[in-house]
Amino acid sequence: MTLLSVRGLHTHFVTRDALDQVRTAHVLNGVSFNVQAGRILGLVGESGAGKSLTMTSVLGLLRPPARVVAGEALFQGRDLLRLSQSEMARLRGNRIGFVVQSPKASLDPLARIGEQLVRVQRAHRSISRRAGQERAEAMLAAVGIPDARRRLRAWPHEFSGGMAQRAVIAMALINEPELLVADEPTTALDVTVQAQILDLLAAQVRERGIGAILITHDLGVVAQYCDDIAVMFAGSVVEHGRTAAVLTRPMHPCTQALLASTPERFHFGTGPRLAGPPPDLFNLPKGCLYRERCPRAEAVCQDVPPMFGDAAQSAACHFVTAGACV
Amino acid sequence: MIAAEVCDLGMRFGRPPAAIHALDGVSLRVHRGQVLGLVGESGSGKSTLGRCLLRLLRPTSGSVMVDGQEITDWPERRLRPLRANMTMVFQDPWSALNPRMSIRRLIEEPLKLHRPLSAPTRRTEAERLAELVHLSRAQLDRTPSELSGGQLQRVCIARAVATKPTLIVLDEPTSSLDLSVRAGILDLLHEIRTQTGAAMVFITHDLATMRLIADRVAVLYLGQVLEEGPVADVMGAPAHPYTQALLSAHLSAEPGVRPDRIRLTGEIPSPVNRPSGCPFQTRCPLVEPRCRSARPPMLDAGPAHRAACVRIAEAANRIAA
Repeated sequence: MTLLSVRGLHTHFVTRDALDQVRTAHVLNGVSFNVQAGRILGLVGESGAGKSLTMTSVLGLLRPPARVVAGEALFQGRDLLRLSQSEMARLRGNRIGFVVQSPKASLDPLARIGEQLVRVQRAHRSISRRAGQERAEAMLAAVGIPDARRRLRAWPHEFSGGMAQRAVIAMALINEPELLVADEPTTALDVTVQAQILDLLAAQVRERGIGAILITHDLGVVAQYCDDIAVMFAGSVVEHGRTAAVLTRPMHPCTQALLASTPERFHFGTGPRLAGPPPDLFNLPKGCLYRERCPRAEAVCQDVPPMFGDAAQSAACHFVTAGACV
Repeated sequence: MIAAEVCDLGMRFGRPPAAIHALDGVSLRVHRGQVLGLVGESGSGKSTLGRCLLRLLRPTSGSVMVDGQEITDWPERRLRPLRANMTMVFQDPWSALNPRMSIRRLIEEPLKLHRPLSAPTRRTEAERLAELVHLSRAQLDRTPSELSGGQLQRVCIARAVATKPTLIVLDEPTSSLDLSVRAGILDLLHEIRTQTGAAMVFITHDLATMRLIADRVAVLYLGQVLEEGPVADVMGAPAHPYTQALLSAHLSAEPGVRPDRIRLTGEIPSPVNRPSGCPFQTRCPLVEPRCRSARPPMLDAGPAHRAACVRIAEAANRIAA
């Protein structure tokens, strides 16, 4: 079942330069992807590709000068991009849980962990403090925090990074959302703790049958935890499909270059490397945005923007035909 | 030839009871032309060790030898000429370079300080260095804000090799960079290593990168070396339970490659309240009473391969996943 369907999302930064001329940066250029219930979608790409911006656009968290200018994001039959601030606020933290990279930054340093878990519940439903505390205790236990009852009274500074991220996940899940968005949830954690947190996230998604989006630049995280993958470049998705299929037979030259750079497949002095600067987002070239870096680029790539096919695995590239790799 | 060596090195910050033992009894050596990898999680002491090696920190016990000279207690003034021989590349190239200097001036700076060259020769030498790290002539006249992270890290590497050092310490040189940029930097370090013959100490938490670049590797945990040996042996047949757990926590980018994972519970203890005995005892699935009483000695786990686990003697050091 499709839980969230993002179609043709365009986001711009509208700024003024030193001469007071209006300049528009085209930071998202038609992002499209689906999230299925009970599955984890990995949103990958290099820094600046627009991964986090896609989610802040969808969740209505953009601040000027950023602005969504086109597209739709259908969630439970409603277009999130057309909701008012207050309607969106009723969904966030309630039907949609959000986990960010830095757990310490997403906890209120002046409130006990239990109090914060009660607040999230009372923001969205009428529940007594006592009942809220009980649910909070159960939730902390569910995310693997030992001695949960006592930990309700702990302050955020008393938690290690891994424990704090568990508490943040508990906060994101406590209102039983249908969709969980996690933006680099383990990037700030050590590897031995990273595996614990990702195991926990995956188990919660399966158990609750919810859909999840995992934003990451780490292909190892995607390979081991995500069912589906969407690869982003310069503000658009260039390839999507089942993770195992995309990672074993990448179609888009961008995905291929990305994979060749992983230490597992890396060989000294051999390409292909993603090279050169990314396209100028202020003066978006027409045609394929990847062509400056693409070893295969031909005349058609200069003029015609490539389109996606309908196959389960598909890539926005002129040279991909009927599932064949470039 | 040994380029650098530390013996029984200790580094303590602060005073008891709140003292942090960042390093405790570390002994390692690195040879010319060799890359020694230091791996460990945050707080393991790998950066502190790098800084002690270069005497950017003065260790609180033990000794540091570079190029056959014991420099443990040398004052900064005496170290200064030696700085040309031992250089460093940091994780974050944005904060390692003066934003107001041109790239040319940045690359010429170490030459000016350490090599008596005429201005035109220095200019040519800076251009040669730029070429070595694959920067264009035009980029020499830019400032750091005009270059990308990968290009800036190339500038840092050019500065580090400018004085023909015998020892280069690289502290997470690729961690702040995108995957594809990282690949280019690894290519470059590989070239430089074959061209200069300098010893490199490569600090990273990324095991896959370590496997690519290092000849020998030392695994640190709470300021102690738990295992040390040739990279293929340590990664292929890790002897210490911690190394086994660390390797099995690595997430391979190959779908379907999923080793039986060893799940550790808990996190690294605080370096203020370190357990006595084996530092890994609080998380080790194989822990026994004797691990708590005394610090385990380094035992041979293979040729030039040692690990600090008492169970190696009985060949009972493997964790069944």
